[in-house]
Amino acid sequence: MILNRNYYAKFSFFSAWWNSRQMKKLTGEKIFKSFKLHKTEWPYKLYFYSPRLKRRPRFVGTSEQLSNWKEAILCETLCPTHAIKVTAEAFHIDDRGCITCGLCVEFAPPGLMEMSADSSVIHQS
Amino acid sequence: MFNWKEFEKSKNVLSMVGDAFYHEENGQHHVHIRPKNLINWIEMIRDDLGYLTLVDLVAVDRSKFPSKYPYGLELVYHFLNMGNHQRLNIHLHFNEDEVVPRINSFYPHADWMEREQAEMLRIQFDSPVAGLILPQGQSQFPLRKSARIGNWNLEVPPEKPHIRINPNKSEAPYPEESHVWKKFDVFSAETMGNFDWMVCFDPASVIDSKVRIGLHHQGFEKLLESRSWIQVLQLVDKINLGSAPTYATAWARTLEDTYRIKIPERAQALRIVMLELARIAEHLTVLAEVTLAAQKDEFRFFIDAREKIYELFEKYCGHRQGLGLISIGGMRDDLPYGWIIEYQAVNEILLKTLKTIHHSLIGQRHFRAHLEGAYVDAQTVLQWGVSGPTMRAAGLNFDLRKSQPFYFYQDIDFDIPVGIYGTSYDRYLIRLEEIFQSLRIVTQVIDNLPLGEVSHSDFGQVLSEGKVPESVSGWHFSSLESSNGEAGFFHLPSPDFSPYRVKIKTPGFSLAQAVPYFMKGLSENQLRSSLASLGIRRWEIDR
Repeated sequence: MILNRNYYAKFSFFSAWWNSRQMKKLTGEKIFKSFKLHKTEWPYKLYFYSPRLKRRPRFVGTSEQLSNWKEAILCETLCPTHAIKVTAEAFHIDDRGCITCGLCVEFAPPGLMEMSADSSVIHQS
Repeated sequence: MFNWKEFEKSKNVLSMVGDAFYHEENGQHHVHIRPKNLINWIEMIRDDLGYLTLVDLVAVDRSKFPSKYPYGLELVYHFLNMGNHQRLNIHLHFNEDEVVPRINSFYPHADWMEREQAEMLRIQFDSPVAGLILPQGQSQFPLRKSARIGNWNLEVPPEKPHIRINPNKSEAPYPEESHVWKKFDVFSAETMGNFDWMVCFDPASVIDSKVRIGLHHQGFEKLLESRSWIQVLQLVDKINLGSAPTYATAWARTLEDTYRIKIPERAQALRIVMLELARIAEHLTVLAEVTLAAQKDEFRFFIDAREKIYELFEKYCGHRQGLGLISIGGMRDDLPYGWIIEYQAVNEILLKTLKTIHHSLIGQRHFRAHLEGAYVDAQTVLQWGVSGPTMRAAGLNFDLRKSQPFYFYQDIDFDIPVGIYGTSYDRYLIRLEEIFQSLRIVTQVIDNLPLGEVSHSDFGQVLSEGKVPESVSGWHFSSLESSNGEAGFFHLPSPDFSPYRVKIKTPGFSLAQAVPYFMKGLSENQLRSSLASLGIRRWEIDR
C-alpha cells in the first residue's frame, strides 16, 4: 500500500482555511475530555476493573503465618526487585522498590497478601 | 512469507559446506565454525546466499560448565534474508587467546555491536576496538561470569584542554573556520534525552555529526541473569515504557517457542489486541514529539488521544502503560466486563479526530518546512540495519507481521504503508497510517474474539515434570515487529529456570548508530523534529 499522493501536494489557501476551521470546531467540543472514569468515581467502582488498579501489596496474615517461614519467605524470593524483606518478627515492603507487579499476591498462599488501596503507609511491618 | 520448501533448499546448501557443523532448530539454521573460517563464510552468505542484514550479535562466557563445553567463549551472528525470510545463526567457538576477525567491512552496522561485546566480555579482535558504553579507564568486564558488580577502580585519563572554536580539530576532517561544531548534550531538547551529539555545521546546514551513548547504562542484561523467567517478564516492561506489552510478549514468545508451548486461542487474540494498542500509543507519542518539535499546538491532541489508550490499559491491568499484562502461557487476566464497549468508543473518537488534526497540520507551511529534510535512501537503510517505519518510509516493503506471521496475523486484513521519498515527512505519514491500520486489526479481532481459557494452566507442569523436549539445546532468537522496528530476545537457558545469557535486540540501537548518516543537510531548527521522527528511546540504546 502506497501512501495517498494528495498528502504530498501543496494545499490551497481555501483548504487550509477550511481545515483550520474544522480544527477549531474540534477544540470547542472537548471530545477527548469526556472519558475520565476513575477520577470521579474512584474508589467506589474499582471492583469493576482489574484488582491491581491503584493498589499496592500489603501483608494481611497473622503472626503465626509469619513465623512459619516457608510461607512468608516465598514472597521474598519471588519479588523481582528485592523490595520485600521477611524476618521472624516483621514483614517489610519497601514501596520505593515495589513495581506493583503483584507476583507476591498471585503466588502466595491464600490469606497472606492482599492488594490494598491504602497508599498512606510507606513502610509496613 | 516463510516457506518450508525454500528452507529445505537452503538447508541442503548450508549443510554441504565443509569445516562446519550444521543443525536446524525452530525453523532457523545454525552453523558452528572456528574463527579461521569466518571471513569465507561471511563472504559466501552475503554475496551468494543473500543474507543482507545482520540482525544482532551476541557473545557469551561459557566457562561456568567447563566439562560440557570445551571452548571458553562463543559469538553468535544472527542474519536475516529478506528475500526468502530465513534466519541463519553462525556460532563462533574460540578460546580466550584466539583472535577473532572483524566483519565491520562487510556489514557496517556490525561496528557498534562488536565494540559493545568486546568491552563487555574482553574479546580480542584483529584490529583495535574503542569502547562504546562503559566509562573510560575501567578494567572490569561485567558480562563475564566471574565479574561482580561493585567498586570499580576507575583510572580516568586527564582531560584535554578545552578549545572553543573546534574542539575536535585533530580528529575532524573539516579544518576550515567556517565549519562550526556544536554540542547538544543529554539535557538539551534536540537530543530528547538520548545521547550526546556533536554536530558540525557548514554555517547553514549539517555536514557531519558524532553520537556518544552509554549515559543511561545500568547493566540490565547482567541483572536479568540473576532473575528467574517470571521475574524477567515483569522487569522487561521497563525497556520501552511507552509500549510495554511488546517486550513482554517478545520474551514470553521466546520461552514458548523453545519449549513448544501452545497458548490458548483467546490469549493469542488478546495478545494481538494489546500489541496493536501499544503500537498506537507509541506512534501517538512520536507524532506528539514531532509536532512539538515543529512548534505546533496540535501536539496536545495526540497526547490526549494516547491517554485514551492508556485508560484502556489501566482498566485491563491496573497500570496506565500496560505493565504486567502477560504471563508465560497466556494472559494474566481476562477482559473486564464492558471493556469492549469502551474500546469501541475510543475507536470512534480516534477515527473521527485524528484525520482532522492531520489535515490541519499538513496545511500549515511551517510544519512541512520542519519535516522536509533528513532524506534516507533504501541502500543506506539496508547498510545500517535499520528496520520499522524508517525502513518502510524509504520504500522497502518489509514487515514481520506479514513476512513471519504469528498468532492470527495471517487471517487478518491489513495493509503495510510504504513511503515514496524517505524524508521525515514520510515517516510522519507512515506512523499516522499505521495507527488506522492497527485500529482496523483490533476491531477485526474483537469482532471474532474466541471463547475459552485465557492462560495455559499446565505451564508449571510442563517444566516440572520434565516434558521439555530434548532437542532444545541452546540458543533461540525470536522477534516481532514493534512500533519502531524489530524487537526481540536472544536467549540461552540454564537449568535453574533463569537465563544463562539474554541479549535484547532493540531498534533504537541501530537507529542511534545510523543518526550521523541520516541527519545530513538539515538546518538547525529541523534537527529536533527529524530526530523525533526516528523514534529512538533511551533505554533501548543502553539497556
